[in-house]
Amino acid sequence: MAGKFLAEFELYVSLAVARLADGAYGAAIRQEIESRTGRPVSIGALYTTLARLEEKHFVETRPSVPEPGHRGRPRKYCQLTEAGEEAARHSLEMLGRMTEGLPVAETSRA
Amino acid sequence: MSVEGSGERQPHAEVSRRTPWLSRVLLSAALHPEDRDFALADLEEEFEQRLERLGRWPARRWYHVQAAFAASVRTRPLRTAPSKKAFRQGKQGGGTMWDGLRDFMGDLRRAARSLRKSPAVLLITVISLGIGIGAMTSVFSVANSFLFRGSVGINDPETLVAIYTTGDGGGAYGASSLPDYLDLLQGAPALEDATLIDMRTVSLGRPDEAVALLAEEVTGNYFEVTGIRPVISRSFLSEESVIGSSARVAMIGHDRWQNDFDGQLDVLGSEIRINGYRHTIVGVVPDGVLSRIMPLEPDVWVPFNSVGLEASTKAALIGQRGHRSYRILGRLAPGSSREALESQLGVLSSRLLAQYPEEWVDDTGNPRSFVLLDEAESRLGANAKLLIGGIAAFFFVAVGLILLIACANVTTLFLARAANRNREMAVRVSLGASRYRLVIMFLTEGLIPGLGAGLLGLAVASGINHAMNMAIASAPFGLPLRFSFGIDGRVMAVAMLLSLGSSLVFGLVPALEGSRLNLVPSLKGDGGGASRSGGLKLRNILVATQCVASVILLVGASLFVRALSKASETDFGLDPTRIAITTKKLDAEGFSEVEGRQYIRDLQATLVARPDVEVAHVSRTMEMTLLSLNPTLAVDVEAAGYVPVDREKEQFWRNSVTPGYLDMLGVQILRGRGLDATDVAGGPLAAVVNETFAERLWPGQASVLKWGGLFGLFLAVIGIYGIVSFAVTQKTREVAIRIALGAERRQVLARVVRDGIAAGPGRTRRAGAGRVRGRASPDQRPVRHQPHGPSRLPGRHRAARPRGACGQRHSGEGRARNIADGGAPRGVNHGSIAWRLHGDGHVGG
Repeated sequence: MAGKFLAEFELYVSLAVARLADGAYGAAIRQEIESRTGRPVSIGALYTTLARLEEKHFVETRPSVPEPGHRGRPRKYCQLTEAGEEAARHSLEMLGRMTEGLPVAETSRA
Repeated sequence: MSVEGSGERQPHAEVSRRTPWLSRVLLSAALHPEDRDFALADLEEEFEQRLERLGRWPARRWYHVQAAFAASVRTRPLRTAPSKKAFRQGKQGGGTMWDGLRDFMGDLRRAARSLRKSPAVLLITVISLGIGIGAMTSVFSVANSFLFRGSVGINDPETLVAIYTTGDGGGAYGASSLPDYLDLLQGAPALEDATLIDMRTVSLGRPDEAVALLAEEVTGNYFEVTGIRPVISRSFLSEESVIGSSARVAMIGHDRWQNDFDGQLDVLGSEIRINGYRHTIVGVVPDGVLSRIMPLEPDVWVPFNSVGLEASTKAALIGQRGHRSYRILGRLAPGSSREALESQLGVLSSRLLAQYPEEWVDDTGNPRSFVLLDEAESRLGANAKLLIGGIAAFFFVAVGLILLIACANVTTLFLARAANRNREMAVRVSLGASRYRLVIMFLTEGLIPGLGAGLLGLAVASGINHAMNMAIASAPFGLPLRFSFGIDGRVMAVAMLLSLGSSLVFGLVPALEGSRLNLVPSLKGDGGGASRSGGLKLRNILVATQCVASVILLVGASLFVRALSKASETDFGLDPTRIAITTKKLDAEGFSEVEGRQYIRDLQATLVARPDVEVAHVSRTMEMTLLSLNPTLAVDVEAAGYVPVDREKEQFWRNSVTPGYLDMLGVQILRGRGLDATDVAGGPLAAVVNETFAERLWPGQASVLKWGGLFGLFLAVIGIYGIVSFAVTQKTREVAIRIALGAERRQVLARVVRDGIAAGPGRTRRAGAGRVRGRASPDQRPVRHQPHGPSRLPGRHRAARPRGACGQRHSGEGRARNIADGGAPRGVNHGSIAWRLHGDGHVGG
């Protein structure tokens, strides 16, 4: 089923959300991906991807309640759904199968 | 899941801690509306972290990069099918800036296609708005050339100051005298140097072919002080500018160089005759350098040594401390401030007051002082600035009203178009277009004719400016005045702003109206569009306003045209046919009084001896020109039973003529007698006064104003066309039914025309402005009000009185004591009366 597969950036975002657990919101996700991959992440692209993941029911989002004294900055907290975890696992597995035994995969891991 | 996490942030928010606003705006535009707040908050948080870790500039740079990144990477696209949820909410996705731009280009193309189908609407819109915008742009460009443009050629204007002496009446910006100027050079070390400036009209060329032009007389250091660099050759030498020096040198303006000398380099060393004296040209002043006295371009500059310029009178006056008629421009010494100069001037003023109490106390008994003004402020006097600003504002508002009416007209046109396109809009909405998108679409449609009108407006403005420059150059001011009202970047910006503004003004109402739809009836083609109640009310109001404005404009314009045609037929009381005029400045050309009289007599005799000349006469000033308003020609008038009101006595103008002058002009003497051969120098004084003097209209102006009136008519016609077409659109269905029932084309047409004629006032009445109709009669009272046009407005009396045969001023002129006939002074329909006055000034027979 096509809906199960994640595009590359969707996979990154899903994994970052999983890694950050309760602290997964826009800025944190962005920094997580940037620091781990070294790839610059546009905030717009991030939110577009999150919206797409949400549409596919892989991610649930919840806006923070703005608190007085904290400059009332809104945050959108994210959590992987079960379907999302399943999709990420599935994508990684497929990736593993595709790269298995390939020299290009060996060198890149070194 | 935690909801906090913002506790570690600093609560204070200094300005420097804020994210750069431009990038923030860019981000807001680029981000999807649903994500915008969250994404901005995220970036702000990271920005603050970077600010603390890396400092201000890296943090800002990072933020800019993020903004550029967000704007360039496509986020949620607009054109993909919206989610069901979004669709239900009527959103098609806000989209990024680029999506917005793409949509805009699409709208532009669609608008172009749709407007191509109705070229008449496009043409009318562009023309009517274009003329309005052009007129406004032109008014602005005139104000711009006076008020906003910097001085040409002036170097480092910040350290240049204008120095005034307080005037006779205590006014701050009076002229200064030469002795004071010399004391200033010594007594104010904060001044590096200063120059003394005077402006006058001189005659150029040999006496028999001289032309009048503007000369600026300056001390030799003028060009060093101002930093104006000659285009070719040199400026004045110091020995040439010593006051009283006999050096006769001149610098000529760029225009004169181009016109009289074809811009040739060997102009240097050529001679020109200024006031009859040969002057050697030593240099050429760059184009656009204005006089410091008036915002006019002088033709020649001569050193301030007074040779050849009214030598006899001036030499005596120039050395007097009380003879204040010059302007001082000073350059601050390096390192010294305006304040330092001000205090030095204060000290100097008190010293001069102590030394020369007579010259340093003004007419009100107060001590005079020096007053300082920055170069930029001194370019135009404060009064002139106010005057020009006021006039410009008046015209801007007046022309702006016309533009507004043009906008209203175009609004009606577009409203009719919008009403026509209900169905199209309904289809768009049912395919998912939001109201926002429809509004944008309509506005884009307005943008095309708006921009077209802006371009046409610029063309119109440059045409008007050119015509004004030409008209001023050839106007009978007695002087070749040159203004260069041009189109610069600022003027272009104003034109574009006007066109955008007006396209917004005329686009918005149809956009809001046309985008408000009742889907089902619109799709069925009922044409009814919007909620009948609200929509129609708005349209009615607009149509009513439009109708009222059109009628007022129509009536006003026709009155205007009639009044003007009356004015142009105004009988000036003289017959200018077969009359030729020339002027000569005898005193300026160095004639003594005796020589002058002889010259005039000889000239008169020579002219009369010619077979083609019937008669020749001499007057001191030309009738109906600005020169005749020379203040030195104003006279005080005293008469039995007549008490001048306020300053009224200054408003009587006098001309001195040879007997027979009035006859020659065909001036009819209504009562009493004209001047005759018995009125000679030394005889009893006599004067002729006119009936009323109100009109100083030049015939050339009437045609310009007439075009204004015709434009008003044109606008009104468009407005009424808009109303009729709106009415017809509303009746399309009815017409179809009539045709289906067998009505013929001719009958339908007749009905439409009949309804159309009734539509304007009819609707107006319903909307509560019914009185308009009663006023629509084109022949209105105000015209009859003045059966003789403006010529009968109360005005100034003009007195003429003979003197010998010379245009030179006498000392001790007798005051024209006249008026009377019951003592009614002005404005009433009395005849011209000749009064014989005794030499001692008492009113006689």
